[in-house]
Amino acid sequence: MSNLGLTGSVATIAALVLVGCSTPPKASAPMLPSPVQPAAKPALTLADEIQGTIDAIDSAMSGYDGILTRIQQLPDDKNPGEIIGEVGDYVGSERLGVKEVPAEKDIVAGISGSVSTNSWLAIVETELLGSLVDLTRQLVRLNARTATLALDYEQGRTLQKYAVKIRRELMPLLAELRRLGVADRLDKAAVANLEFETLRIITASRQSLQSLEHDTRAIESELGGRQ
Amino acid sequence: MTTKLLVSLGSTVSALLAMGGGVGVYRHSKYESEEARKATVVAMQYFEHTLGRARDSIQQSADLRSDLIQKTDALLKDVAQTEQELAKHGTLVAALNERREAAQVRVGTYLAEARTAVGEATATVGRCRAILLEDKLAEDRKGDVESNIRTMTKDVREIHDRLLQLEALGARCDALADRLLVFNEGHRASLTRIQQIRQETRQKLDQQKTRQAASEEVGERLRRLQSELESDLKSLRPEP
Repeated sequence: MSNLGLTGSVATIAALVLVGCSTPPKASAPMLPSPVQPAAKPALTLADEIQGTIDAIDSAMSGYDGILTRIQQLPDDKNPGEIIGEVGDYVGSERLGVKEVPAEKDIVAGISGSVSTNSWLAIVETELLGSLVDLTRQLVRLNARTATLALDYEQGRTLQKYAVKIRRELMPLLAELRRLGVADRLDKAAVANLEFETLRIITASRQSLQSLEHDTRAIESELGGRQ
Repeated sequence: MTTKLLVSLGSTVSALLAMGGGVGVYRHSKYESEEARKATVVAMQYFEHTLGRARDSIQQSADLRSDLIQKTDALLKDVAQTEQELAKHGTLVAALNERREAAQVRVGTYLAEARTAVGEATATVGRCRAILLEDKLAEDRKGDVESNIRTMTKDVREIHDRLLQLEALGARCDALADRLLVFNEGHRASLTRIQQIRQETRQKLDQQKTRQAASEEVGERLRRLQSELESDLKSLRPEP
């Protein structure tokens, strides 16, 4: 009796396992919400995970772009180009190559330690710190997310590779481009000023010379011409 | 018996489990792998798009930088011409100063002559008046002397006026000398500033060219990244 019972149980388990194994992939088997329990979220497929990662990268890139734009709009005396360069180095540094989001005070200390005093003062004054802390969190989470994907799937490794490239190479390059743009903008204004100053100097010199020549000639004329 | 049955059943279950698991993992991984491949291709296309945008941005900024380099180069040439023109102004003003000095010498000579003439005429008029006062002249000579006195007084006035004009001219020469001095000082400052502007402009042009090279380097790194991405994408895409 007991043997039969045991056999029945094992058979049931085996049958259940077989049924479980032949169950179609998670995406094609949406879970129905139980009438009594709260609606359970359908398990994410790998494609969902990858799409979520793309969205996370997109969001981080968009946040980063916003930060760079805000820095670019800072007045020249705050050295926006310098801040942009340092922020680019910060996001590309190994400091963000971790999988655990550090405590806020550690993130703040990390940002403070990665930029110059002048940049740090400007970051704090212009309330950019909060955005940089958020970006740091986003990037670390992205790191952890792609690392998990890379452990489980071949495609995850590809995705991880490019997520790392985006953070370590593309983001600093984008900062470099902005930094060059800021320098160009400053130069454009400076060249226009130098052009104006040069014109002003030569015009003033011409006018003075003309007036001096006129007066010299007038004196000579009153004296009865040059001798 | 029971043990044997259990062992037998256990083996069967294990085999079934292994088989079922294997089939399940195969189906699961094949399906998901395909989905993941598609999603990864989309992700990488997104990266490619981002890189493409960055390269477009480089191209745009390179165009703007080229304009800036052209403007700076034109300014550099302009500043060099201005420097030459200012140097010429320096020579011209030195010549003006020589002319002013010559005029001033002439004014001095004329003034001295006029003062002498005024002095002499005034003395003559004085002598004539003294003669008239002595009343020793005949009536017909008296009229001549009075007429001479009037003429000479008129001449003295005219010479005096000319003297005043010459003094005013002398004052204008002095003022001109001061203005020429001021111009010279300003001219030296302008020349120094123009030389600084030339150096600043040269420096800016060098920096712009350095930035152009840096931008090309960024473009090259993006191009390599894009090329690597394209190659990975090619391997991820199914053969047509």
